[in-house]
Amino acid sequence: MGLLLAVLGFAAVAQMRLTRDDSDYSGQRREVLIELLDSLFSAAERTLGQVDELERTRDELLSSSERRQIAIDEAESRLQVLEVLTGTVAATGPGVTITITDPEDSVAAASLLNGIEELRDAGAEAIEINDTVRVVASTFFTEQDGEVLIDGVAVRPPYLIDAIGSSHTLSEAVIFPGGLADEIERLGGTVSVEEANLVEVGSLHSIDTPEYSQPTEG
Amino acid sequence: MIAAFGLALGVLAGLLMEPSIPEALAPYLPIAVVAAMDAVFGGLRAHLDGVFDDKVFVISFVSNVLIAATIVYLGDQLGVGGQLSTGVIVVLGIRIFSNVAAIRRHVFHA
Amino acid sequence: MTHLPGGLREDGPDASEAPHIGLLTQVMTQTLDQDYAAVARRRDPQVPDPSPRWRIGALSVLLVFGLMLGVSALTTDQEQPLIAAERAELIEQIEAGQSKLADQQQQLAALSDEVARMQSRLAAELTDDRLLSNRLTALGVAAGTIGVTGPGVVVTVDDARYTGEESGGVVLDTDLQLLVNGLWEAGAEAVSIDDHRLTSLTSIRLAGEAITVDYRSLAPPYVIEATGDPDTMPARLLETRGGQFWLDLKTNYGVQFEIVAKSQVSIPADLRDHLLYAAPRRAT
Repeated sequence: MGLLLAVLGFAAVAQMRLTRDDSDYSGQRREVLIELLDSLFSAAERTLGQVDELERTRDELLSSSERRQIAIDEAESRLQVLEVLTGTVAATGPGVTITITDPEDSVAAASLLNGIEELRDAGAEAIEINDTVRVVASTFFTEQDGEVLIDGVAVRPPYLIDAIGSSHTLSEAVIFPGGLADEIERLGGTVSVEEANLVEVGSLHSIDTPEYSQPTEG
Repeated sequence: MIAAFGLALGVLAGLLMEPSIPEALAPYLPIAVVAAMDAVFGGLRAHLDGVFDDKVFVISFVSNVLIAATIVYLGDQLGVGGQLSTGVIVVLGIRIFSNVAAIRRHVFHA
Repeated sequence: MTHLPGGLREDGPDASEAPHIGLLTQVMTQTLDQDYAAVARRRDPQVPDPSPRWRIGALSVLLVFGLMLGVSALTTDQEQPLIAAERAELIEQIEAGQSKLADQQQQLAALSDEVARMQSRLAAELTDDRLLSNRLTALGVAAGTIGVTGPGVVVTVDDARYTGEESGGVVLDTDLQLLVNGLWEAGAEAVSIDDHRLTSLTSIRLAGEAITVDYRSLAPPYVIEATGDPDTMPARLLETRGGQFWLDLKTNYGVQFEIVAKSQVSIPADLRDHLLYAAPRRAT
């Protein structure tokens, strides 16, 4: 009797053991195995679908990122040009340095303005006066108490104009008959033009946020 | 004694000759064997009860085997072959157990 | 229908339960073929077994039974390795499937990490882009490469109706320069002459007989538009040196000079945003 119970106990424990460490599936019935395999297949299929979808998303992101990079590069180079045009960054390049003396204090704002227009006409891309005032589109020349003011800043002779552009064309424009040199000399001053391979326009113009103008694009 | 001899001869013949059974009949052999076992144990019990009859034994054997195989075949056709064979085996199993218990009572008087 | 339940309640339990109990009990109790008992009851105990043919039949049935047992055992024995092989294959497939699934899930996790990283970077980049775009717009407006609209003034000037011999009645490039200079001084934000935007590259020059703006010849009357405060700009313009100068021209030479405040003026863009010589030099 005791022997029988012992055998029963042993068998029960053995079976429980077998059921517990079932990592190699040896105790599983065939149907269970097939079901497991089926569920594995469908899980794999689902995962594969997700992987596909994510890969598509990633590729889209990559291509949009690439397209963005191209747009950014373009924008950056545009930005550089705009910064030079608006005088918000220092600029270098070939050009001329024009020195205007005015011993008789007779050179007026209008003459300087006309000179600037001549330089613009000759293709000057960046201009500054006396290394202090950057000349941009909105720069205005006024006079007060016999002094010339550019954008409200007093500028005293001798006037030193740095202009970046084709140095030859710029100097031609200055010494052209009836040009700036003639006009200044008529007023008793002197003009000297020096062509240089590298002119530095270092002064900056700060732009204000427009109050009345709305951009029509961009 | 002769009966036991016939049984042993059959087992030996089956093992030695390795007869190949048709593929279509293969699924019904195990259930037929169980049905046959029911008939055989029934016969043995009848023998011990003293009511054994050769004719009844032969007929019960043949009909058991045929009915069991037919039920499973029908089940297969209906798509419930697995469940039906389980049911048949349960019923036959209960009968076999009861018969063996009766035989045991005869042999051991317990 | 309405009166049936009474009858059904009485019959129901007996009719449905009795057969179940009967069947189970029958299976449990009547295990021996009743035919044995029936035949035994009919048989005369005195007569010995009447048919030896049935004895032979019984023996052959036993023989067949033995044969079935043997074949069955043999078949199962033969199938055993097959089943084991099938199991092994199944298990192999399961393990392969599991490791594949684990790989895929790892890949999935890596991918979703990557995508999340890219998306958050993209979000950050979008902010950068917006900043860059805002800056581009602000600079474009200032540089004149982006058109603007807004309130402002329209100044129309023309040569004197009767120029006669006096040259003072003709509008010169310097006259326009002074006028534009005055507009900037009066707070103009953007200025155009005859729809040519004035930028830092634009010149107002006399070429031959005609005034050119941005190298394009213009003919009088000249229409100068500027955005800015429409309430104060006309007065401020007249206070400037340029305004004074033009009032003089108007009085003394009959030159036409008219300032009109507008709630809306449109200044076009100058699309020249390409530099040949100047390059930015950033502080290092």
